[in-house]
Amino acid sequence: MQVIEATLTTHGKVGFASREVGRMTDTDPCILNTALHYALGLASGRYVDVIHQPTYIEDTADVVDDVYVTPAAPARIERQGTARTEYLTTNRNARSDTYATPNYPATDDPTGRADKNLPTFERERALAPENAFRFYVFPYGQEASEVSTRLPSYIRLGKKRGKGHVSYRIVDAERRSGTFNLGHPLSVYDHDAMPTGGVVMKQMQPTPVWFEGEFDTDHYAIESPFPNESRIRYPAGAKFLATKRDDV
Amino acid sequence: MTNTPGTNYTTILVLRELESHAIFTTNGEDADIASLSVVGDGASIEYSPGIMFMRKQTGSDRRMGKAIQRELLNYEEDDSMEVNNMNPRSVESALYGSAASGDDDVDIGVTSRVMYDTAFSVRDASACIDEKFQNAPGEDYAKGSRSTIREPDFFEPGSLFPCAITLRDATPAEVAFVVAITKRNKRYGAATTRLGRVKNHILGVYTGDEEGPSNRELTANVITSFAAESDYTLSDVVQSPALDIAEASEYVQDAYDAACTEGVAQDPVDQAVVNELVEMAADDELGAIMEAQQPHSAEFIDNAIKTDGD
Repeated sequence: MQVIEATLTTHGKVGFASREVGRMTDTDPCILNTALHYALGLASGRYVDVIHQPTYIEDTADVVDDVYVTPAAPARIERQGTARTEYLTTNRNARSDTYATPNYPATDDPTGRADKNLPTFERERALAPENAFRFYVFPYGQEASEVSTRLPSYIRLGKKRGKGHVSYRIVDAERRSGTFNLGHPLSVYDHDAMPTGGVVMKQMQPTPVWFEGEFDTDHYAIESPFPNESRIRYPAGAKFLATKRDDV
Repeated sequence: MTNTPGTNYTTILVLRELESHAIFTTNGEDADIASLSVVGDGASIEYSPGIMFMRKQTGSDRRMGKAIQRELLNYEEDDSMEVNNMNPRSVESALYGSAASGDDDVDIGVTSRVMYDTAFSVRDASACIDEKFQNAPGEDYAKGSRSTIREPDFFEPGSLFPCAITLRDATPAEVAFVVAITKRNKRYGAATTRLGRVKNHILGVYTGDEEGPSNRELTANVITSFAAESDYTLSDVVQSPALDIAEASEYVQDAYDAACTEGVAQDPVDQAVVNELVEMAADDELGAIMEAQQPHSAEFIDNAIKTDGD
């Protein structure tokens, strides 16, 4: 089978609220496939949100059997390079467009707003431009080349929807069975296989991720981005939020 | 206008030119600087452009949008930048989004359909940023020590920021509204109402079912084009004391046009239509367009609440 190797380069500031510590919002160097499904146009949300509940499963019901997108991890773009993530830390504030905005102490506030959680300022640590990430797109029952023509080259990601450019390359993947070490992050709910050892897992919102681990299941050995390097192994038949769906 | 996002993209290509000193800072003192690599013919450089964050543009443009709306339309419910007190049914909030409405019964969040992109200065920060000493002494004669002295980074007049503003699933009236905002808004950066006069050159409008190149690529292309059209190296361009605006405009437009022919599914809108859009920024014409849009925006929000609220 052939899979699509996608390389994402951030072109602006891209920030997620991976972790919120007081007035600081931090971005983890991993982009979950929940975000990527929407960014790539495989799922579509709603402009006006009334229910305030994520609807990942409903939104992706049509595509889940045709295509699977892995989470994105920092990537090396040259053979000897390192997958380092660069950050920008900035302050931001939320102010009205009135001319005078009096600030009252919380103990003596005639407006009653000081005791409400209204945003005034916070610090945000976000991915800087020119960070590279890599993810894979598995087409199920379709040609990889056909799927790749439907994927957009420019996408928007994160809280303020920063811009990113994605380039696609079709690589070959061999189906094998037996034990292997995970070569690319896997969202915990996307596959029912459990790791047998060597686990590095990270709690992320909304889904935790296996970063490393030894698995014993059918898997694909995917051609590495660089020649003469060992293949990247990823469990076969992964489906977006598979274990959370009724039909699995 | 439907609640499910589609793939109708409209891009307004803009070159923002500073006409006076402006401060784009987040901590009140230092300009935000990124690092960008530019690859030209047989040479490449890494330079440090000053950046104009997307939200520096959005905030200022939204205020201008609210002001235009106040001038042209009548709303029973006020629409302001107050985060918890927006009127989501107004033309501006239905387009640019709102986090929370003032109405406790209707708890909705509206996603913005206008997308900005962080803009990079064409020249290096060392060539276009100048520190200026400031102090705010007040008018008393005798004073203790106080922290009113600072030395903020000012962007020099003449700094250029190529920008693409992308609208998703916008109606023609909303496109005209954003063009009018871009044309009329002349103040960006810290202390928006006093400092930082900016001239927005609207270079073109593009439509299609995909997004176009980013500001980073547009900026890089301006630099490589300046170098290719003269004897300068890439480093000379980013360090030059001044750059020609007409040429820069041409290069930004060329870069976008080239991307459209090279595979991005967007087409330029006829220049005559663009000129017409820009001229519509005049009050009476825009007023009529906004009035026609007004019920549609309200309906867009109401329908979404009706269908999804059940």
